[in-house]
Amino acid sequence: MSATSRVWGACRTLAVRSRPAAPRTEPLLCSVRSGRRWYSDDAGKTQLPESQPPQPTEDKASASRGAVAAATAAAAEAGGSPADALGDEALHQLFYGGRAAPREADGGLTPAQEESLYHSGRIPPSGEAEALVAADQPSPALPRGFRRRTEHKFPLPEKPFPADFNHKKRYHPVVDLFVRLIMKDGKLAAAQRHMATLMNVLRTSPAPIYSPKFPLLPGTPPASHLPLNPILYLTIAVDSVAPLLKIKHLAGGAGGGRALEIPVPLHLRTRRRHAFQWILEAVSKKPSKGSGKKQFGHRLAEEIIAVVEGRSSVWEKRKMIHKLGTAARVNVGSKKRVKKKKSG
Amino acid sequence: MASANSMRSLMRPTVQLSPRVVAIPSSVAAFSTTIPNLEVRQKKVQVPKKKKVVVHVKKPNPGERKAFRKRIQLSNNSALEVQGLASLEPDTMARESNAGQIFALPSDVQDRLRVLEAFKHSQSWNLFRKPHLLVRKEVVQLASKLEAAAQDKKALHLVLTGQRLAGKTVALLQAMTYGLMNDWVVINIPDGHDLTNGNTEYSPVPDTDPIQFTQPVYTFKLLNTIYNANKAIMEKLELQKDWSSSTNQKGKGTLADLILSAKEAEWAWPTFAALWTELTLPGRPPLMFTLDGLSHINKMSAYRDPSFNLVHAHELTLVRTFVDAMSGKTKLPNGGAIIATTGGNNSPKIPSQDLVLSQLEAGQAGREIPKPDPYKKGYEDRVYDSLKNSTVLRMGQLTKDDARVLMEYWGASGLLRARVDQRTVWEKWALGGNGVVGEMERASLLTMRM
Repeated sequence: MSATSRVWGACRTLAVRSRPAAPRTEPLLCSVRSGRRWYSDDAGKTQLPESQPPQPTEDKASASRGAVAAATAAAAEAGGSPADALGDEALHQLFYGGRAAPREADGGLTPAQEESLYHSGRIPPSGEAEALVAADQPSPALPRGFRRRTEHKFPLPEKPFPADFNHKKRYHPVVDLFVRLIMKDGKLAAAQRHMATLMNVLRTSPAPIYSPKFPLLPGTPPASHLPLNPILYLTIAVDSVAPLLKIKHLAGGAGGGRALEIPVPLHLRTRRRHAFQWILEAVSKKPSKGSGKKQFGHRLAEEIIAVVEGRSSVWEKRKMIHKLGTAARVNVGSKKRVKKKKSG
Repeated sequence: MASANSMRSLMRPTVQLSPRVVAIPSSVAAFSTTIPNLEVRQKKVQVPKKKKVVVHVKKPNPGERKAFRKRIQLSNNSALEVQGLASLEPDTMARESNAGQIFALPSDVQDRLRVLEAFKHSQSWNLFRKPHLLVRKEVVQLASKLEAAAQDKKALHLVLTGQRLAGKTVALLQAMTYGLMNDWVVINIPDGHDLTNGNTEYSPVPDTDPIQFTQPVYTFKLLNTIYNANKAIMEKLELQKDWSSSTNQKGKGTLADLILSAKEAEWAWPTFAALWTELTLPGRPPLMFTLDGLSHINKMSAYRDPSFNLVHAHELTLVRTFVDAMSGKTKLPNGGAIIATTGGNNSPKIPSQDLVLSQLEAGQAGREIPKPDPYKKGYEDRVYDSLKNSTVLRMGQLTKDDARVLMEYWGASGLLRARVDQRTVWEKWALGGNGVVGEMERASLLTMRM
């Protein structure tokens, strides 16, 4: 048996799960780039000129869109650009729809919605999530004349393989990323222990109290659902506080020696990595209040709970980046080249 | 006369004999025609030092860090409440029919066990809504032996052995639960190495050869624990002897009065000795004395006598009380149990202890009795003699049925998110070293793969 098939065989026995392929959703600012812009003469309109991206058709969504439109209209009348009135929450509602804070009556997440969150960073409506899962199932039909090999003790993985069927992606995407960020000096087992402590502290902590000033990811389940699902708790915290863009500085691009700030959208893993590194930085600055091996896990859990409750300093960092990005939004997609002055 | 001062005056003139003219350093170079500007002061460039930002944080008070680390939490309000599980009754654990089932611990017994320090912070009671116990077949055997000991008014001398994380301490807890629910008097020493690692005060007993030592502070704490855990029984039992010569208890009273008469650590050991004598008189309830960490009381302690020789643990009076009860030298006329637990990660190897326990186990199983190694050093007769009259109960591995029951409970509490089917149960059973409870817990509850 070749080395490759042994790897696939090992993966198969480790975890039997069906993962949806990462849905090919474009990041936020790509959709902005594709022509759906607010223009000053659209101030009074409730709908964008072109058809909207698919949104959950609920009364509350249309009500929120109406509220957003009213806010932008008010801002336009006041003399500023319509986008000035759009805070974070309004932008979220515009592009994702739904409520910022979930009601207790709203159900929790289905397994398909959870998988979609872990792999794509957004919580789709349950119908869409089921469709994504169904699309990822390998078709059972085999070409004619294909003879199944029956001599394998453990079944071989079935073709066609999903798009990200790689041995480097065999673990949970969120947990794997965060454990490796915690790891120091290559001590993975120690990092895994810290992660396990973090999970157990989240499980034994009371349900968080959502803050209306710091809305979490749209589609977030009610707070009482989080403690017993610590991976979901962690993912909601990190995905909510993750920055959507980074500022790329083009040296000398703004003229007069100043750098041109170009907002660039971040992909899912990068967003999560930035957010988690901010969280780790905040944790490293906390003073030690206990003793023993579980201190780091406790501090990390406290910070995650603080993020979900809106008490963390990480929200300020995110706000700063988004502010800069909004201020420099005119440079989005700019392909400016700075001419190098010839010496002499 | 030559004096120190005279030598000094030769080397260093301390008094200036004549005022000297000190030349003012001029800012003008030699042979220069520049008009000197004496008003120009030499500017000193002030280089500001980088101030380290000192964040003043309130440090925890002494003892807070350890208290936080060692805290016992028995409930988790985020966990789900498991419905449909019966509560423990006084005779539940002794019934064969209850083997392999989970029972809830009644809250009053829970409080008394907490006082006795029966729960350990390394166990995972803090993950569940309420403490529940799995009645394994070894626990049924243990409870039946306790029941027989009380009925026949004979003392049970038991040693609980087993591999690491096999569930020995929890079995000891279940024995204590049986005792508390059946109105026994329960005394527990939560950790043997607290007595012998030299961290608690010790004082010599006069006129003893070899010199014995009492541990007043530890004994005082132990007396308080016994009182708080067995309050109802202690307040009912009347003293049968007069203890006014050795303790603060003057005249008649109850055992509770006797314990409370020890107001200081100085009186702790005589009071404990009096209490022990009272409890071993006929007409008292059965007595249970448990100890976790047998290896620690069978070796040389960290204490030293006045001649700077190491003191053996058996020379400590509290340990001596336990060991005499274990060997059968002290009779328990009302029945009872002396139970010790071996093992744990931090346990020294005691050759005599290992030998006697292996011999007892072999004898119980009908196998060939192992002999001592003639080339090995370190055998001690007193350790051998203290344990040779005891019974050994080995905590083995869980069966797959027990594992299934336990995992269903974990799943019902919301802590195991995986689907509890045959595949998952067998997987966790295998990952747990073929059913070692503690290892199964580590693989299911204390892992990051949820």
